Amino acid sequence: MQLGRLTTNILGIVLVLILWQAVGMHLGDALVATPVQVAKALPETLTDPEFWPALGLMIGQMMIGYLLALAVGIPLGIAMGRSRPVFTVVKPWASMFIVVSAAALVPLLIILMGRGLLFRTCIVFVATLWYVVVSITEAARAVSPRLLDVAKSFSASDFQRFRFVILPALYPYLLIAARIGLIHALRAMVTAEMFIGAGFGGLLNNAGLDLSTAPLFGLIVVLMLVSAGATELLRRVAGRAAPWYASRTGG
Amino acid sequence: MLGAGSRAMAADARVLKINTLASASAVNVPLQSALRSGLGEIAGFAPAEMRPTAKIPQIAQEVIAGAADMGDADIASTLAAAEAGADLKIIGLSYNNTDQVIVSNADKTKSLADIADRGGTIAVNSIGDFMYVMVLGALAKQGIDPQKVNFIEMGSSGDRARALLAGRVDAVPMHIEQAEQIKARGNYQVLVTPWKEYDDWFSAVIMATSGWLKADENKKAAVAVLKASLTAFRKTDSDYAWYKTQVGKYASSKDLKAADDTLLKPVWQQLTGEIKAFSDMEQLNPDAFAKIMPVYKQAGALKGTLDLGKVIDRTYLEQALKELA
Amino acid sequence: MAHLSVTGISKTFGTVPVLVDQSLEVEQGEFVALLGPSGCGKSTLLQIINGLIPADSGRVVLDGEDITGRTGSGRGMVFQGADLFPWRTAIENIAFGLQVKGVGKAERLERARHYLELVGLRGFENAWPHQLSGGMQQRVGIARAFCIQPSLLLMDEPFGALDVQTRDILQDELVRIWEAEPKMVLFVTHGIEEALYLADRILVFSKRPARVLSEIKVPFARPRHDDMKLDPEFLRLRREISELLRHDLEA
Repeated sequence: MQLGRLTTNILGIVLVLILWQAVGMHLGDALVATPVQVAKALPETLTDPEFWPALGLMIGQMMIGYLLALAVGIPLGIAMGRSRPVFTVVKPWASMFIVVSAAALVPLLIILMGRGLLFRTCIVFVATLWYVVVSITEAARAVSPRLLDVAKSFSASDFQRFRFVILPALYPYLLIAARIGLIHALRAMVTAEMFIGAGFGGLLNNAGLDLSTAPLFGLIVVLMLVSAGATELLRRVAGRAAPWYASRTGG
Repeated sequence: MLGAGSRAMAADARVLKINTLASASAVNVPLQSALRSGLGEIAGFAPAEMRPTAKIPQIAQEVIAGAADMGDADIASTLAAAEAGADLKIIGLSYNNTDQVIVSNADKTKSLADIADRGGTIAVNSIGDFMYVMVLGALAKQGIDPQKVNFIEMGSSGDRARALLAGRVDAVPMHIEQAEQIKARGNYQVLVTPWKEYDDWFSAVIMATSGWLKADENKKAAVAVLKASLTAFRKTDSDYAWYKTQVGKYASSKDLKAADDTLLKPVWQQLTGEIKAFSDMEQLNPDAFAKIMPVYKQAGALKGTLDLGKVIDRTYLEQALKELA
Repeated sequence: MAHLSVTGISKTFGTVPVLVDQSLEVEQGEFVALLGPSGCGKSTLLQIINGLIPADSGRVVLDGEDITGRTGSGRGMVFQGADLFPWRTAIENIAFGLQVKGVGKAERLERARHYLELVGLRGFENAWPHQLSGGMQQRVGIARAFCIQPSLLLMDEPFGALDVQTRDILQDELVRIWEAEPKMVLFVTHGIEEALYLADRILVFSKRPARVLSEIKVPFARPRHDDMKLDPEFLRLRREISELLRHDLEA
């Protein structure tokens, strides 16, 4: 079954590549560089002395805001899901901030805090936090009241019910929230970097100036691989740490 | 190879924060070179901390907010901010004259009138910026109703060029080197040459706030920036080989960085010759600005209520020219 | 001597009276069925005895201790849908009550294994609940309640969600386990046959608000066998209860 899935995955990727190749050959490399052209341009991109530091800087700086967003968002989400007063107070803010895109906040944040680490951490934090909060809130609200009753009828204390029921019930959702959050964190980071022409976003800007899209697509492919790799890593962590969930969903 | 003395000087050398465009094309390279390296050769100053900014109006905004010392900002947003009450001074020009040309696919479009007749589309960086005004001005000169033309915001010149290649838009303003590059991909011809239409159309200026310029050390910094810029402009005018090495260092696009003489030499010849993009910022005076103001007014980008004599301040340029003499 | 004494329980949900002044007694080793139409309030009475729902008035005394409004102490509950914790293996589910009580890991797992084997699940120690059939899940549910060695076992329609064959098997299993470890049982059901087959005594409840229509001593000796369901006395009692209930519903 594992092998079957793998084959399907590879088949899917191959199909997309063929389609991409056909579209690229039809439209020309100024609009859509073909996978072959991108593959040819990649070595030059990867050996560019600016590339690896830019990628490392982006991921490193993003992680600070991302981890902060998880550290704040998870407890806040649980509190919102399990406490009516907290929910009533925080929910309007969450609904408001979640629709504000990172791109809209970037100019304001630059003027408020410059373009350094503080700005980048802040934009990633703001863009990530509310997605984490909202998904954890929903999960915490959905914790089965019947299972909480089971624990209570075995005379579990409030803390024991949190420890033995709420936390394990939330566990798979924590990792889903971490995955959703990561995608938003990465997106916000790239948006911010493109705006200030720094790091990986700066490379994307510059590549966008060339008439051929091959180097640009190369960078985008790298970005997709980073994103897919990180979410796959989190998926594996989830599978290892929550086997009941993984074996149920077949992941 | 700094000596002991100059190293001590470098230690307390001032690093200026200067906001600039996110992408440097051929016409931007001399100023970039001046600020990123030339400034460091002036006693008391280190190379500037350049702060690329993707959204052009944001450049002037950050200077007004005090987040940056000076800006390499576009003229439309700078003057609009001054009209809105910001106390700004324009102390230099990022280049003396625009190098942007309006390019179309000559198989489909022979003139601006063609575009207006069929309700065609022109892509600009953003509505209201100097490029948009420049196109409106060109339309007005030929007596074409701008309402008949659609404008769309496409962002960077690379994206605009691609939109033209895809046939999604009918004409696009772009830098001359891009106009040269795109010729290899079809019958793409220059439709309008603004520097011929307007004599001088400077689009980017070196600006700071009056408040910032009050301090003596900042006055000195302003002069130093202009000295470095003038030096780079003069070198560009006189020395193609030097200019080429600077393009290799400071141009944003890889294609331009790696450009060979067949592409770059004609571009340089046009920039320094016909366009007179550099030299000594002669156009920094209220009269020259006044010549282009009607176009901005007509385009609705400016109200035209500004006393240009108050906004344009040649003091630092004069001082820089004197010190260089 | 183990003894349950429930006196004067009343309960109103909103403006709807569910229980009015209900009392019952259970003697040591006695298996009592609470039989009545769905939604009559018998489950509410069970939950009040369990301590999950507070009564408006009345007292619950178990083995001389007033346990009104409290969960735990001496009671083990088997829930309708088993309600196992999906993140715990079978044996960890069985050991849950002991873990809440603070029993050390080695000891609680050893005791849980005893009950796991008693309910016939040897070899399924490490199975996740979703990997077990409905009948097997309810075996775990029964073992989980037995594992804390309560003096009173509360069962809320535990076989209601199972198919007929599985239910018949589990009824026999329950009796076998209960005979191995006799204790007081309160068994809520709406199945007349089930009540007659399992209980020593049946309290037949009216429609809402629930009151006892009749108390029936089941005259069959233990151990009981399937063929007793064909006994004329069994059939007579079944018809009598059935008519009693129908008469009440139509009144």
